[in-house]
Amino acid sequence: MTYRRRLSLAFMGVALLPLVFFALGVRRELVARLSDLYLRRATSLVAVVESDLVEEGRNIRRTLASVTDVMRDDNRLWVAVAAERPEDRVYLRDYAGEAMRLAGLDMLEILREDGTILSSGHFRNEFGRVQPHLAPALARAERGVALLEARTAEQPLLVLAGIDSLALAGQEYFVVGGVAVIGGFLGRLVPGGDFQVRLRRKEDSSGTTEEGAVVVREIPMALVDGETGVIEHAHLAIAQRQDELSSLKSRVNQWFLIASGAAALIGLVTAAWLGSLISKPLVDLAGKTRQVDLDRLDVDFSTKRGDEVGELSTLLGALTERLRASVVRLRDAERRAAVGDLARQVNHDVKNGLIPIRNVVRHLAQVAASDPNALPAVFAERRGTLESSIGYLETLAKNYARLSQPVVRQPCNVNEVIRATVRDVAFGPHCRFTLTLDDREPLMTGDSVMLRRIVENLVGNAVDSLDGRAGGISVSTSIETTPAGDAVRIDVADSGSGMTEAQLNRAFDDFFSTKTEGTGLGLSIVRRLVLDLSGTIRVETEPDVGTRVILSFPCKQGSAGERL
Amino acid sequence: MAKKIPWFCACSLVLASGVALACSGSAPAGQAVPQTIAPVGDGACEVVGTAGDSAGEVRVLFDRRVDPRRAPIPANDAERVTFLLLYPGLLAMNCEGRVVADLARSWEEQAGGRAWTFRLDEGRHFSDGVPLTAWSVVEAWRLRATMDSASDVWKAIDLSSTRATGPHTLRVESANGVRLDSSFFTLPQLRVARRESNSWPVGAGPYAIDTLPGVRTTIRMSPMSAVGPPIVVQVLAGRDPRELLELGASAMVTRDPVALSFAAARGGFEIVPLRWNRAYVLLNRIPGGHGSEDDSVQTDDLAREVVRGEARIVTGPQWWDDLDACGEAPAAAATSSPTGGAPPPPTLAYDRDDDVARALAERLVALARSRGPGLVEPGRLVAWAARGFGTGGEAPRTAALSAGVLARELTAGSHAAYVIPLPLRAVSPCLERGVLLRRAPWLASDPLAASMVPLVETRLSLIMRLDAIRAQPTWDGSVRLFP
Repeated sequence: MTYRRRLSLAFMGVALLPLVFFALGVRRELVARLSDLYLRRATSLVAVVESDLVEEGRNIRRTLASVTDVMRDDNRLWVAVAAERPEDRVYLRDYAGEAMRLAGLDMLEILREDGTILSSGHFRNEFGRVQPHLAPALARAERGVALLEARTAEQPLLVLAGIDSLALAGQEYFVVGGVAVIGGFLGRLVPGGDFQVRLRRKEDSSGTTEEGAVVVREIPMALVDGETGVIEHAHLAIAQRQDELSSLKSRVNQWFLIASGAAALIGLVTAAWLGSLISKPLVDLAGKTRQVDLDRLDVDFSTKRGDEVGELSTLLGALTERLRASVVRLRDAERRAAVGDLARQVNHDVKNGLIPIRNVVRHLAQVAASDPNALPAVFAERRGTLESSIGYLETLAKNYARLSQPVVRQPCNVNEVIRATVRDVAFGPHCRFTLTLDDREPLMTGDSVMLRRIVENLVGNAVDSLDGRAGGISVSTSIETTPAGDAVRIDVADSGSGMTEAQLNRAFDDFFSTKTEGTGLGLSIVRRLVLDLSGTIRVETEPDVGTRVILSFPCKQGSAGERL
Repeated sequence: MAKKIPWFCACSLVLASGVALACSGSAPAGQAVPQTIAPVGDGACEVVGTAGDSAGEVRVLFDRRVDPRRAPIPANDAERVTFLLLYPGLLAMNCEGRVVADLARSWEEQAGGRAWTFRLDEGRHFSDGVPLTAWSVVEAWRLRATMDSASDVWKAIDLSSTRATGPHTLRVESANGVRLDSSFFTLPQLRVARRESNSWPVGAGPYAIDTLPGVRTTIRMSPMSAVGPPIVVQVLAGRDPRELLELGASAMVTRDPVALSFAAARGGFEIVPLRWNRAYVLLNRIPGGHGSEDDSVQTDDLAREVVRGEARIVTGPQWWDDLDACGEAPAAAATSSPTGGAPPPPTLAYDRDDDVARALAERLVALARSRGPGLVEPGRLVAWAARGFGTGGEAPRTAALSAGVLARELTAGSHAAYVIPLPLRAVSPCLERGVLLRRAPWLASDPLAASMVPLVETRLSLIMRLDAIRAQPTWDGSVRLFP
């Protein structure tokens, strides 16, 4: 996990956790307070409803008594029910409706003794229906009133109903009337929609009424079945709407989410900013450190930062500086060691060259002393040995001369040098040669002869690595951007035998060669020439796959694209 | 009597049927020959009342609004009276049910009723002064046919061949060789009205509209001639009709028993019963809801005790009795079917603004619930209720719907039954049956389940202030006012 991610998570935790605890606490406290408030209101409401039911029952009984008094004095009604004259039927059918409206009731029926409906106020055209059990059941009800589901043409109407009776023309008639419970007098008691009342029958075990309402109190009531006369124990369920509470919870949740989102966003942005502030210099420093190499010790670690990162950068810069000095000393030691080795090698080589000559000279001296006439013949015989040894010494001298040529620094067109070099190389028919040169004609400051020797050596090594087998050799140039500026890159690659890691480690050593006829100075000289030209050399190789040698030289300032 | 409705239709538009066909015949050119459709013959055609002071205005009360967008085709009693004064047709039906001249001076039948030539009265003008010509008649018809292309009326006339052969001569050709009867030209759809954009249509009747367009509570009409006072049609709009009568209203067309008894008790008013014009029927789409021949008709109590105001049981042959005579069902009706095959809810739907329909629906529901020990009345209606209503365990109930919703749900067959009013008299029974089938297509598509039971018929009465107005009952149960 990166430093930046850890920082982000830490910030999120610090920002969100207190907010979560705060929101949960506020929500819990609100719910508790409101629930308690609703409970107190429900309790007081139940008390009011109970007393109102009693009062409403009294009112219904008084109203029905008044209705029967009026009916008793109505001669036309008397004639309609007693004489059953057809022309008075409409009057009779309409009577309950008129009386119901005048009395302020919601339900009124006039029934014969046998239960036949003569007139109905709430369902005018139900006349003729027989319900013999209604009147006796209502008469049995406690306090003379009970709940009744009165039929209408559409939906049943729940009423608090009472009953009265009167005698007309020697017959007894019942008057059943009541007021609507739901939406009626109870509706007036629970205005505003916080509470609602519904009839809850015995078989109805549902704890809720409408959606979002919970039953908080139940008032036992008698419910008369008008058809059978059975009195059922039902309840008036007072339900509290949970909308406001739910809405409050929902709003708290909503604001909590908004606050959490905002805190998370701010946390993330802050963490990202801080992370970037802290980790970016480290990343940059890591990038610079990654570039440091024995051949690349010019990385600039200088900084103006005064913090820990700045201190670390300064330390790394000093370390690189010390490393650079060490490398110089190392190279110097290496050079001295090489000179020693070279002296020994020269001694050895010269001796090797001189021994045949000395032997020939001694032989000639012996012949001159013993048989002077045979001297020309012997000389002719040994002349080849002398010339061979002299040629060997000349070659040695030429090779050693190459080790100490002075550097001539002048603008040098890399592409031109490479073209001229590869032109003289005999690749042979088995070799597939590819030359890819950068169109921008890269320039470097250096000695074109030295560069030619470098390329000559590398291409020659590549040709030798193919060892007569079919394969490919490619040479390419390009301009690459490095932290130190633009650089000319030269790639010499082959698909030859490649090198092992051990061979690679010794590849730049003097006199080390994998070739039977090599002097072992080729790559050593190349490396030295590259360093003299302020360049770097890197080798990528794999046995039986091939080798790629990558050279990099500083570009001549402002020279990219410039032609000589 | 319940009438099982088989596949039938009105689209053939063979308009001459029954008595009409027997009495119709070719009229000699240049001579108006009245033709009997359904003579009333009860001697109630005389003009009643006397003209009042022409300086004042005649204020007539109705309980429904007049909608100019429907002109000249009336949809309620107020529009029936108003449009009769504003928009005459070529021919008209007199109070006895005979065809008489109106805008046409004479007419001639040709090709066995497949073509008719009308000569218009040359002195007639539209209310804006534009002369009435045969061309304006054709234009008015073509425009209306475009707006009401579903009407069978426009399928009976070949409007592309119908043309003005002279300024006041019009040749009408029928479509598809249908034989047209002269009574066909008394249909409200063929009344002549020039529709102007965003205004009342311009008619050529004895009165011209004075009121801006829109559905208003009062509409003022002025006589085209200098004789007679303006007539103001006023809608009750929730006001007590007794109050308006007391405040000087000249007349009221109503069946409200309270208003009628007030007028009778108040004095100074004459009450003229109009012709029976509405039949309330029970449309039932419950399988098994057909009555048997043994069932006795027990609808007397509906007329006596259930419906407030004047009502009586439906008597005599009616236009819906002979539905088979109209041939195959129209495509639109035949393709409609009750919803999905599922039994409809046990609801009886009616127009909530129609008191008669409400009373009948409530009574039928009460009877349907009175099965078993509570069954109080034998008879076919009860039998219908017991067999076909509320059999699914759900209590039958009424459904009071607005007119628009009722029309939509009647077409869809969303309820078990419906109580709706139908015109008692029809110029063309087949046309009327076509209209009914479009309103309730399941009557034709599901004939085994569908049935139609006539319940009661009703009529309006005209309350007239003495010496204020003259009026004549019309053949279709409305009234024609005279200045």
